Amino acid sequence: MDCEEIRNRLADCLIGDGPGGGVARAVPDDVQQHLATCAACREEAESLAQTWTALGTVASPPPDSAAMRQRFDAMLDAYTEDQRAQPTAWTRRATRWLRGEARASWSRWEARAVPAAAAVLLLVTGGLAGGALAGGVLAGRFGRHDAGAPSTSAEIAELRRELRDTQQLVMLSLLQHASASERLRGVGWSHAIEEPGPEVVSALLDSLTHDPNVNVRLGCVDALMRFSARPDVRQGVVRALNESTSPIIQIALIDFVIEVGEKESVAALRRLSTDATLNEAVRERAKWGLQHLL
Amino acid sequence: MTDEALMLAVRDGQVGRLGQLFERYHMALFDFLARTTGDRAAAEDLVQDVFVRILKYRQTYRNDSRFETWVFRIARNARADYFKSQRATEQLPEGECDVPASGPGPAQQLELDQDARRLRRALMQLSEDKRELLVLARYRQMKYEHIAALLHVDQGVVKVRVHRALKELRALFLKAADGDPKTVSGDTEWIAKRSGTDLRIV
Repeated sequence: MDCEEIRNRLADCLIGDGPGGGVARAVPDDVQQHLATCAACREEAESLAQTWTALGTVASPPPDSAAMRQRFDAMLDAYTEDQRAQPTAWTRRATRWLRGEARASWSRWEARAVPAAAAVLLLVTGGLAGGALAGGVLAGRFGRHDAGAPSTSAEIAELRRELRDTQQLVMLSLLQHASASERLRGVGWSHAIEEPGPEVVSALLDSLTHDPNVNVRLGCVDALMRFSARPDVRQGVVRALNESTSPIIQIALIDFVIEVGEKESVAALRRLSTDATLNEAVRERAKWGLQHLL
Repeated sequence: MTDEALMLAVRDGQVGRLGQLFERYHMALFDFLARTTGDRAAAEDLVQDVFVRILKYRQTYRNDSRFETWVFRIARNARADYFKSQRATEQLPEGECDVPASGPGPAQQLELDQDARRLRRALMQLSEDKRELLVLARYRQMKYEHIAALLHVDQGVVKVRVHRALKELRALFLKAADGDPKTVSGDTEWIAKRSGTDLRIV
């Protein structure tokens, strides 16, 4: 055994839990024999051991554990409370928007030309459709028709189509808005549209890949779950998984493909799970995803 | 209950169990972060950050993960973000240095205090990765195989790097000591004298 081999093994002799940092581990016989005859290696070994031992004398004063525990408890309480109220950050954002914030700023939103016009149209067609539906149901139940109400199936279907088209128009207009919060509203509109057309799905996929705001992209992941049965949506999500660089989006997309059991994502997950430059949580999530898919 | 079992419970929704892991790990994490950043206040904040991240990423904890490796990986990431946001302190305040209280008399203790300060400074002069390696191996007494898993390198690489880091640390210490007449300058005496222990490697 030559000197280089011996020196590479010297670190093995340093790990130990002896008090004061003593070199606790026994030195193997072959290393001992070499050190007994080689002055250079012996000196190197002594030097390492001395430095190792000396490091043990540099203590670090303990922290204020009680204060740290207090902060930890406060953090845990806040987290627990938050989790109880809202399950995930992105669904929270979407829900908050759909419930309160949209209504609170409705009048400001109405001032903008295209969405406002669409909203008015939506209200009109929505009202007519609602009336038509109610009229149809009542007419059916009581066996009579109101001559003034659009009660035929064709008329109802037409009104429904107009309502859907108007909702889509609002949504697509909002998705083009310069403000991220308006675009997030656009994503929210997609939840309200019954049987959305391909342009809605296409717009969501486009925003998922290209929108500069992470909240909007997260909202898109959520919104696209409705359409997870569609091959183009699955392909688009896998494509986004390959292109996304944001850890939170990557994790949301991993969750998506796992939930829908998308086998086409295996290659992307493999890459994510082994890319050392990525966020550790993303790698771990990708590994976890692979375990579920394979 | 093992660390891993506790973490699995946290992952599966019993977040209150994290308190037990905090009790078990906050000192170790603080020591690691304080020694590698050289900033105790930052280390306290970073420990909190580590536990926030545990909650945030708890779903990513796998059944077969070793908790210590996982949590130190999170701590390394938190520290990396900290370093990005501001430069690490290169030199610690003198008051931060500490040595065991018992043993030598007052005159010798003074000398030892000075040596310990120099050694701490030398440690802070090492590159971040070398300092981290020594802290993990020496102060956290983490096995090489676990350090290797944490750093995603081969175990043999860890051993070689520990060896090199110790040599560089010694050189830095001796360089600082050469400029101070009060320091014992003999190349093999300086630490043996301090520790009072046999060097059992030979």
